[in-house]
Amino acid sequence: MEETKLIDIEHVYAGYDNTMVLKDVNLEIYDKDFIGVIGPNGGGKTTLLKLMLGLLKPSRGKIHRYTSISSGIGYLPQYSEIDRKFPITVRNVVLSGAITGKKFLFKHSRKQKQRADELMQQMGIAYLKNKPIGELSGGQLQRAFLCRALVSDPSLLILDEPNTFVDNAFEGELYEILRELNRYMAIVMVSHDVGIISPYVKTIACVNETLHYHPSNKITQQQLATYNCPIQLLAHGDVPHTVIKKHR
Amino acid sequence: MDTFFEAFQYTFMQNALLAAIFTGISCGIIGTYIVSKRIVFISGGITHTSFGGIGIGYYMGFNPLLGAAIFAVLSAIGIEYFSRKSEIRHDSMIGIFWSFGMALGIIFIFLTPGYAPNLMSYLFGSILTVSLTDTWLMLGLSLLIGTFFSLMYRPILYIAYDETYARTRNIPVSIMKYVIMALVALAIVLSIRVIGIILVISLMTIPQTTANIFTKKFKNIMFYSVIIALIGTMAGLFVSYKMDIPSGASIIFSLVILFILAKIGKFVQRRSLS
Repeated sequence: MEETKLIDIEHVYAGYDNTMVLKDVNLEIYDKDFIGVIGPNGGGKTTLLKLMLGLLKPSRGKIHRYTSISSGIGYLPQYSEIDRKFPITVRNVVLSGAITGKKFLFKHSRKQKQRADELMQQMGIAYLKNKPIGELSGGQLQRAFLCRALVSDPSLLILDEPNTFVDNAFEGELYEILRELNRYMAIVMVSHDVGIISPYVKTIACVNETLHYHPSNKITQQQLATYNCPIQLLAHGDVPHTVIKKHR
Repeated sequence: MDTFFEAFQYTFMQNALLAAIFTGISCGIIGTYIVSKRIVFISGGITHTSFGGIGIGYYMGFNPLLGAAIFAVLSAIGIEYFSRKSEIRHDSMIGIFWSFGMALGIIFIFLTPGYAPNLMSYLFGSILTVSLTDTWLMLGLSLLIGTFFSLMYRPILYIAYDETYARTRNIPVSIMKYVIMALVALAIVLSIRVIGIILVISLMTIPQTTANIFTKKFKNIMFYSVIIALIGTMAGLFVSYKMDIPSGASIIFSLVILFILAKIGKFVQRRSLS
């Protein structure tokens, strides 16, 4: 059975001003994929996500999307980009994910509002829906952002370091939620900690100027080295140990 | 209380009252966007740049407020445009616009022959000299701002909260931002008559910050700010009339007193609850 292709990135170069952050990147994303994106800071992980979301245009190469961004792709941005003191309620944050631009004056349909309430119920934050976001804990806030990313019922979910600033309990829960969601949609997740995410993801993409696709969720330090991906591999096994290799 | 109503028997006081109401509405709404999106500094830049237009207006002999409006709108768009296109950082760009506008204004007012225009009233405002035409313009603008913000409430809120995310949702973020910034610029210019270039930012920040003590919802902050701005401007106007002090300064004084009272009120409420 042929899998449905969602995004096709072909020989893409991209960057800001005169610096190229990404060079000759190729990646195909199919339905039900679960790709963990790893790589050093400044290696271009977030730039890759911006390309997928249409927030940045490639300077060379092509990106084919087989789904619309506004209704087909859900996005959970990096936590640091959020203004936590902004006067907005949880419910409005979630609803902001449902705007597609198709409706007159960007109004929300009753169906969208129902879907938002339903998702908040499922994520266990329904009782917080009229609270301003400033009163939420890190984990509660990430749940709200997850609801926002899901409210348009996307076929691809893009997450930028969803495990920062959340407690360990929620982090485990988050991965379980993602595993469940992955039955219905493709997921691309950026993380700085390949050890933690590797049991959950299906494949790994190492991003450091260019992209090396690793068609399995098991990756060794040697493989990382050949991919030119200078990150430390933390193994979270029964015997806790850290493999630290000197960066280039 | 009698003297309060007595004061408003004069035509100039009635005009001033209308001006206070319309400015309160415009600034209450626009200021909520400014404070929430943390663009107070840009707004200060736009305000001061508009002084250049006032100077040129005096020198060339057209209505200085028209010059101010042109300068304010151009600087609002210019700051957005140049900081995106060039390598100069946003706040540095604002600093350049800010000081250059003031410098231009001073040069042209200095060059204007003969009668030296009343600089003070543009810098610190004079609500008592607001004409009927000015009040009509203010009414028009507050209607425009009120309509735009209520029709486009959702996209405005989402752009203010998380612009990058809004771009992924098919919201025409860039166009919307230019329109909002143009409205910010116009609201600033029409408030110059009431409260002056140097003090304008107060009407766009103090009522909103006071409202924010009681509510954390964008829509509520808009409504409360309008009310607080109205109370502050009317009280300030009355005090200015009674004590014969500059109206702009006394309006700000009233707004700050309201802010302090709100803070104390909230503190007492919290203490009595715990």
